[in-house]
Amino acid sequence: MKVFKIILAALLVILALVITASALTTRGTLPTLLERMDPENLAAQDAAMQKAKDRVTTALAENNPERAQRSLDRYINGFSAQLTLSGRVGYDLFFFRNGPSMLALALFLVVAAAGLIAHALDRSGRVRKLVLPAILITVLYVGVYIVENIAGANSMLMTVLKKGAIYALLAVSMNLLNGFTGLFSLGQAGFMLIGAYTYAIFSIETQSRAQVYQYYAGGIIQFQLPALVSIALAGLAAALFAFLIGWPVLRLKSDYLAIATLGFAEIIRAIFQYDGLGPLTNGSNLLRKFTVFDTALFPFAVAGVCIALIALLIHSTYGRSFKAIRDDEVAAEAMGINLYAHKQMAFVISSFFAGVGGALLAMYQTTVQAAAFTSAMTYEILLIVVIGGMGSISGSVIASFLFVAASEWWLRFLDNETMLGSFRVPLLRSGFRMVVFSVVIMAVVLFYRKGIMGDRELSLGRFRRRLSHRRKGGAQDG
Amino acid sequence: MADAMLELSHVTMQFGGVVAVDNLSMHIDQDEIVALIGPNGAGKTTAFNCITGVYTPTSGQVFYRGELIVSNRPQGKMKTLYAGSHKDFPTQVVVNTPDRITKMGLARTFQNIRLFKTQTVFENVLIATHLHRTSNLFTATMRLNRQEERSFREHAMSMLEAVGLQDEKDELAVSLPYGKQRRLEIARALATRPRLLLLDEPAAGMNPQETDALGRFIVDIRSRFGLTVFLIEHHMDLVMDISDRIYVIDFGRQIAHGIPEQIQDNPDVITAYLGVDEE
Repeated sequence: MKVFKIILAALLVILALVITASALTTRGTLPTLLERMDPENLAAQDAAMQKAKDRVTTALAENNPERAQRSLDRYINGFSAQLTLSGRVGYDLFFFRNGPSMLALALFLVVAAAGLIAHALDRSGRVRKLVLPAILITVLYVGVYIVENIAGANSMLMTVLKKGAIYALLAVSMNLLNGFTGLFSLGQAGFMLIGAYTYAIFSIETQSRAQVYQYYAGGIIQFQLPALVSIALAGLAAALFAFLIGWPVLRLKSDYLAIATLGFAEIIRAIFQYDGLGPLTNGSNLLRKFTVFDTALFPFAVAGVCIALIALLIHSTYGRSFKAIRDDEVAAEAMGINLYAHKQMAFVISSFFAGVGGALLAMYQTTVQAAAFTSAMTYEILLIVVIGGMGSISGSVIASFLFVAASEWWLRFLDNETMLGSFRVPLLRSGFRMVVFSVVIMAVVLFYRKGIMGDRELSLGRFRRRLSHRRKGGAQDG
Repeated sequence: MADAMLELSHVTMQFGGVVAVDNLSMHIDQDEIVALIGPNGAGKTTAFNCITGVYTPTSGQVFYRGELIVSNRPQGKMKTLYAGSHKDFPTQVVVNTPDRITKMGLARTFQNIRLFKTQTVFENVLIATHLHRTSNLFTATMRLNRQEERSFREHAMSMLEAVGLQDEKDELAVSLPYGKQRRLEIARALATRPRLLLLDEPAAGMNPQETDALGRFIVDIRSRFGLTVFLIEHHMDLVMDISDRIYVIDFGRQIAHGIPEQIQDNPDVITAYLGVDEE
């Protein structure tokens, strides 16, 4: 068994090397590839074809790989009949066009091989537990990268993935408070707003500030911080506000807490649009021209790290006491848990990550305006938390991708008037999507009250146990 | 004389016009098992709540191992509304929240069982180790406290073994039968490493065999963990069997105090429990 695993790992490494070599060798070889696609130089007889071919070479000479890629696509699509695209040429062409994806795939294969070797050599079993999660995480990120390269950064799929990742972080941070600590707070949009604004204010390009803050003499901040520093500041700003308002607000219970935090979010929204703060917040005008991300890997990485931190927290002794407070405040206090300190802790941490999520949302939208952070945004996040299951991190993550996909993509057709022949399908018109959406949500709340996951988590351990159970104690895993 | 484990001095708890505990003074010495009995509504649980910080008494003081942990005098509108029989008010005001009192070494169980419903038996006990943490939020999240975490888990497991629930450790706490839920509550209280254990009707809802076993169990954990036990109980057999001393209260007021044999024959106690003949 051990030998088999090492051989398999070796094969994976060889495959990875082949892929890497192919991707790297085809990289700088486009001119020769162009010749090989057209061995008989048919382009010389066809002016249009020659023009298309030349466009590729010029773009290449100008060192503009994106344009080269686009020109190449056009050249191949337009003249596929004349070109030789099979065999070795096709292979090289494939690697040329999908070079980055293939490198990512090779990386994944190496990780998988490393995992296999660790699995085979590990005696204590400690590494073994980490192998599968590590491989799954690599699959996720490599997968996102490949999909982005194939589907294109602006495709609907990538929109859903980007927004889904951001909403996942927002939902998990809200779940930490509402689902795990049992504090029914509706201030999420307020903390997101603080995060989004803090991020935007600190990361607008210095030379664009005069233009962005045109009504406020260029604003008062005249420097630009790196994106990650601004994101951290966004979280800290939201956490600071939470700390300050937590002092009075966390002494309230259930509904009163919800009302107070909802009110806080509305007040924040008004304050950020206040003209007097214009040099900082640009009043009620847009903030724009700040650093944004150009690959979906960025929100996936930031949200992934944040969600992992929240999960670690929830499974620590502090997380256990949060859950104790949720289950029974009186008993929790009698067990020596300082109610106020722990509620404050949960509130501040949740707000920190809401702020980070707000910053990511700002990057995703590329502009920020306070007016957009309405309580409807809080309800959207709350909805995701409820659909996913109060007290389930994986539930929140799954639900946020489903929610974003449904609202941005799958239910879009409901908004468009559709003709079947000469028959106009009734009801389908702008806004109908939200009607259907509401009905779906009502159904979930009525018939599926615990949400997708309830308070359980997707767990590899349980999955594995169930598998081995089904195998009826067959061969021991070895 | 060494300081008593717990001492109540003229404690009065008044809700509006109702005096639930009236001028109650008592002391519990190290290693004793002391029972507080009285008819329904006599103010036993209120007395417990005053000791553990759930309520702040209207007036009076509580000492734990010689340290003043609760002290209050009538304030605000209670100055005029005060209806307790003791008028010599303490000057100090000391208020402690239940969590701080538990940290000092007093742990309690509840009359109506209060377990953490969504958690397993083991997790219920594990939560009670939280107050002994030395890790902070960062070290706990980053798993830099492995050693502490392991010792917490071992401690929680040994508490479960002490009450005989080790085989049910992964079941949901609420799925246990009643008697075991009571024992789990005791295990959870023990996991806070108390010196004084306050049990609020631990035998409520138990049949005679279970009650008998519980009595032996309480005596056993007292010697095993070096505890002092203060309990409220209605099962007279249990109370007479295990208590070193008994306090009897009725309408918030102490009506008798003594060893079980003295209480059994006390006419005031019999009157309080059975009522007076109208003739």
